Amino acid sequence: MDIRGHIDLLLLSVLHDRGAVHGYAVITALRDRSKGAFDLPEGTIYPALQRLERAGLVGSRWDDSAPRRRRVYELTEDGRRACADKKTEWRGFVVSVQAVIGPMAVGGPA
Amino acid sequence: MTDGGQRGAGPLELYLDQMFDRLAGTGAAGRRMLTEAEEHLHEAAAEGRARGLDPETAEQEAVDRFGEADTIAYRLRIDNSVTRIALRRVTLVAWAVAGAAMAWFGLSGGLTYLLSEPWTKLLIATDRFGAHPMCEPPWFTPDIGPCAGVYRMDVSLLPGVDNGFPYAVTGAIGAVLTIALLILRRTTVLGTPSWTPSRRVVRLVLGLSFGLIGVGLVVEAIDGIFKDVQYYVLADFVAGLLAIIVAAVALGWRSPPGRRHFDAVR
Repeated sequence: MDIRGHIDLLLLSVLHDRGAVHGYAVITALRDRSKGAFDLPEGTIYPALQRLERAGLVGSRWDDSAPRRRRVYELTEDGRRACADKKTEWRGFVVSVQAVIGPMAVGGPA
Repeated sequence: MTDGGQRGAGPLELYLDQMFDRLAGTGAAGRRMLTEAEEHLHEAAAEGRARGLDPETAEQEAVDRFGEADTIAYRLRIDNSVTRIALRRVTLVAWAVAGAAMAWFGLSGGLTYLLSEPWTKLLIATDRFGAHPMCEPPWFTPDIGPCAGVYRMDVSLLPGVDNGFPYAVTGAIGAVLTIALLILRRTTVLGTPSWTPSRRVVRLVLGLSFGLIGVGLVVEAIDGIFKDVQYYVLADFVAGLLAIIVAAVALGWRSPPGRRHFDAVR
């Protein structure tokens, strides 16, 4: 499934639910919660996290307490607001699209 | 390091070598990416081994899932382009300066126009031409209109341009540019750090440019008073003092801890 254009919302949502986590945990959560549906190179998540950080939506710091030094990410206050806004926007989008293509058929694709 | 690989190195080490090469020139962002890639791949490989894969297969699976080094380096370069970020910030500073300059020039013209009537009356009231007052022949004859009105037409409205300059339109465009920038900064990607120049830079650019212009105009206005060439004195005073006010506001500007709420940079 092509999720380009939705990565920001997905990353913000994971960070919103998981709190401060390192990149690997973010990617694992994305994979697990989507049941592997999102086919994207895991490495591209890191530039996306850096981009969100520069946008002021995500903060990060090095965590030296683990055996291997790693970067921990968490939402900023702006990030929390952006996450809520993007969720609302996405749900509105889904409702609109469904209004056009019809609701999901029960028991299989229409 | 090269793509040639090292004898005995596993897929993970070979991949990190490859990524090291691809990230050359990306600076701190690249170093951070490499560290995170290393941490990620080791963790993913450990997870694979825990699932019963042999070490080499576990590393290969981790590398495959991580993606092509070229793709990741390309994404990083796109997202961290120093030139692009610098251009964005320069654009925003230029926008702010252009808006402020046009609004200042337009407002100066409007204020000078409003003040030109009392200014002309003041000149007539303090007429220092001695034997030949301003409102009497040979300087003036009543048949050409009211004295103050005639002299008022000689007053320059703006420094450096003639009175036909469309100052009202210029000021309106400047105001629209400034307001649009303020709104877009609060609601769009223009408010993000990659578009936001350092506050110190904005303060210095606005403060120094308007401050120097303002002081220069006020000095020229004072010089004009002593030389009795009052036609440009009012315009210089008004534009100069307004410029000094803009400079003072810019230099004293402290942005509030406002809301930056928008999509991330694309």
